[in-house]
Amino acid sequence: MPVQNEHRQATAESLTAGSRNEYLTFSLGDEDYGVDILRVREIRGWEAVTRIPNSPLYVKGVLNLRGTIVPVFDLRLRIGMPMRAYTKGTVVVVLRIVGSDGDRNIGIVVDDVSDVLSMDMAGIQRVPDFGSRLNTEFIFGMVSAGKKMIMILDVDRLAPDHGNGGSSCVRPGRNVNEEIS
Amino acid sequence: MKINQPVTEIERQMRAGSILVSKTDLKGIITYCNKDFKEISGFSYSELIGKSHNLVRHPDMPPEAFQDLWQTVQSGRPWSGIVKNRCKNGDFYWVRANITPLSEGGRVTGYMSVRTPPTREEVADAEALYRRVNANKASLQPNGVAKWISALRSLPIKTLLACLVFTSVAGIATTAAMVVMGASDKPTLAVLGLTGVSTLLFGLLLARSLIRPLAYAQDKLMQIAEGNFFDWVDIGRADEIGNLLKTIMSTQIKLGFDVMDAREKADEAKRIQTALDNVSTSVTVSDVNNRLIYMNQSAHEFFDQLAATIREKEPQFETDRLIGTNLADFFPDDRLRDMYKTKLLEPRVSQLDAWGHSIKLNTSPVHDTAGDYQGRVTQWFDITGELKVQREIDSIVENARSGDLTGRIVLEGKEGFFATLGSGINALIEVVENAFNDIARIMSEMAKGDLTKSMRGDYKGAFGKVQQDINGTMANLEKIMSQLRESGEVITTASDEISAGNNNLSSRTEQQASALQETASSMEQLTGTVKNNAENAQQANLLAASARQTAEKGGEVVSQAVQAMDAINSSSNQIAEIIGVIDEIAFQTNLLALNASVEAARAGDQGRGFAVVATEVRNLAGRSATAAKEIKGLIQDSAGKVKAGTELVRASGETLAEIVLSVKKVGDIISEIAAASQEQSVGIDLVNQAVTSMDEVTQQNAALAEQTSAAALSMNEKAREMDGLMGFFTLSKASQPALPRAEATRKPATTALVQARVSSGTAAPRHHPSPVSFNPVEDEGDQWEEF
Repeated sequence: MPVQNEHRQATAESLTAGSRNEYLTFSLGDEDYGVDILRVREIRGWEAVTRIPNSPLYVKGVLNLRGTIVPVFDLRLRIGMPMRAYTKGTVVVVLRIVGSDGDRNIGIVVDDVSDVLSMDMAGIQRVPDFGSRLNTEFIFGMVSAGKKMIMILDVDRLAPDHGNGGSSCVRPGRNVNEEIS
Repeated sequence: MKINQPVTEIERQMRAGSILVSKTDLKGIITYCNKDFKEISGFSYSELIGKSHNLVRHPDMPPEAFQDLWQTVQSGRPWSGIVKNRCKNGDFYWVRANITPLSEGGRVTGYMSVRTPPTREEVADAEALYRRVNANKASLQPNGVAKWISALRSLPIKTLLACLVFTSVAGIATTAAMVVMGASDKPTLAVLGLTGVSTLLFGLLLARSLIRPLAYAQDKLMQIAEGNFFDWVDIGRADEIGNLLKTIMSTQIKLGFDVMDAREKADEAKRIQTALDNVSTSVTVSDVNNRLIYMNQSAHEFFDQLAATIREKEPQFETDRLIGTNLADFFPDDRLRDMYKTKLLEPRVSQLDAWGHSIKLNTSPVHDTAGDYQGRVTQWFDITGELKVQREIDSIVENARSGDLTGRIVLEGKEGFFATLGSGINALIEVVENAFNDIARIMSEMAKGDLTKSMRGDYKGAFGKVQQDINGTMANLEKIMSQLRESGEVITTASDEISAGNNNLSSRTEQQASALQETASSMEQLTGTVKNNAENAQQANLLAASARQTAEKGGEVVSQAVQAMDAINSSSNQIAEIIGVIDEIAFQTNLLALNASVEAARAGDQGRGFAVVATEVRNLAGRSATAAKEIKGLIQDSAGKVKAGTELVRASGETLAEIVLSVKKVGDIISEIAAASQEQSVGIDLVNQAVTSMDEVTQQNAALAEQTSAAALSMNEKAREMDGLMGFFTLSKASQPALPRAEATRKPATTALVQARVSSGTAAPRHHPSPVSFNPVEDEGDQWEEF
């Protein structure tokens, strides 16, 4: 897996280098989240998707992205937030996920896209430990931008685990934290 | 053919010498029959007279017998035969019946029948004959040889005479002819002989027809001359002699009938005389020459009583010799004597005062059947005693009529009816006298003013009623007087009160008059106010109408505003849609810019400029979205305000409609007010008139109150006068008025009462004394209890 490793390395590299990265921020309710802009493939308005039978509740279905079948997850349900009705402002963000078996695309449904922010990697802080009961596995870190706190999502963890365990050992957050400490 | 049933086998024999007589009209209806006929037939006169004669026909009699009878009598000839008759009870009797037509003035008017007892031989022959006839073995008409003999016997005399003359003349003529012609002697002699024989034969027949019947007729006529009418002629012949005999028979029947009639009438006259002899009234009868021809027993006794007195002047008077004398000769009264000697034309009652007696004479003329005067019949009544009593009673009654009730009838020397009458009249006069004395006493007391007396005594009937009425009158009068006295006092009191009340009334009437004038002026003011009111109402009505028009215009404006608002609303919606489109574009632009940013980031340093542009585009898109959002908010705000404005305008439209309605109602009410004001004006006019007339009436009232006051004063005076007059009457204690009569106490009390009423100013309910009433029946009862 040279590609993945490369990426890992690049990320770790950028983090460690203290360079500035750009993040696409969006909101779920009152909270703001951010993803690495380089993992974003496309931003599009919500359209009806093709539903997949016998799929988990958070899987809304699949959409056809210029010939490629992309699964669409409701991010609220995926990260354990309450469901909310979709509006004209509801947006699907198509992300590139790097897994042990290669890259793939997923779409996540978010309430709204906010901005493209350029942030210093050094400003990213570890997620505080709230105990084992709180599921914070999708949060990579948190960064403050003005008055707002933005939670940076660990995009690769959004897709379901395929059992190779690779992802856990290459969790950037942990790596980052370990590296930071 | 009438058949009378039933019949018995018992025969009744006619008494010897009795003759049954009857008369019928032309149809056989009995118009008369005598006593013997009635007795033997057993019928009464009423059952016989007016009935058909065949009532007594016996069924054994053959009808041919009656047919023969009717044929005979209808042809005007008498009929004679043995007849069996039937009695009422069915018995029978045989008679020899002789019937002849009864003619008056040559015209047959009926039939007369006389029946004598037949001999037993005649009865036996007839019975046998009728039995054979009824058995159709014989006829009543003669037949065979008997018929020829009968016909020969009945040859008319003129026929015989003609035969005789003819045979004689013919024989002699033949003889003469033969002699002339020179015939031989023998035939001539024979003819002559024959002529002589036939002439002799006819002469014998003629002699037989004439001489014996004539002797028979002569014998019968001799019998009639001797008074034996019922030796009946045999009328079997049909020749001229037979006719003569029939006439004789008719004569016999008629005479016999008349004799029987006369005999019955004589019997009747005898009966009447016997009756007259024995009546108690004295009766005398005088003939046409005023000679006494009859006096009855009573008259004989009557004259016997007077005989002694009469003989004082007329010594030759003797009762037994009075028949044949003229009674009037003995009358001492010349006038009556003359009257009694003249012919009496009609019944007359006269009075004869003679011989110490008063005699009443009832005289009636007596006429015979032809109506000629035949004398007079006189009834004699001695009325001396009656006249005496009558005169006495007359004088007593006359005295009583002129008010003298002291006279009485002397009862001595009176007996029987007159004694009873006298004592009755005395008792009557006594009762009347007592009653009048009693009444006079009471009336004289009453004249003196004493009303306490009453009639005492046991009076009955009309007197009792008078007593009751007078006592009732006295009691009632007393009661009335006491009540009058009481009423007088009440009137005095009342008139005082009326007088005072009138003064009060007068002053109040004046107050009323002034109040009325004030009312009148107030009414005029009111009239002005009401008219003003009406005008104001009219103006208000006009204003209300204009307000309504204005409100209606406002309503139209409101509806226009509503339309304008709607237009604004739709424009806002369109704007909102456009804004939505702009918003969408901004959103898409934002997404595109974000994607551009993603691409620029991916391009690394080469994409830095592009990223700046994308950021700018995103800013523009954000501003567009913000502006669109703001516009949308503004538009939404505007739309909400427009909606609220529309609601308000609509509400104001409804309010305006309500205002229109209300204004209309106001107009109506104002119209009603105007009309009411008009009516008020009319009403006030009426009230004005009423007030005016009330004013007049009040003036009249005032005048009347004054008059009444004067009248009450005068009434008061009169009441006092009346009270003084009432003092004249004496009343019993029980009837004295219960009211105290103290005049001194009464007057101030009354004045005080009146003053009290005047000061209080209200008409206190006045207590009226209960109306005076009395009940005569009850009062009588009270009076009687006192007795």
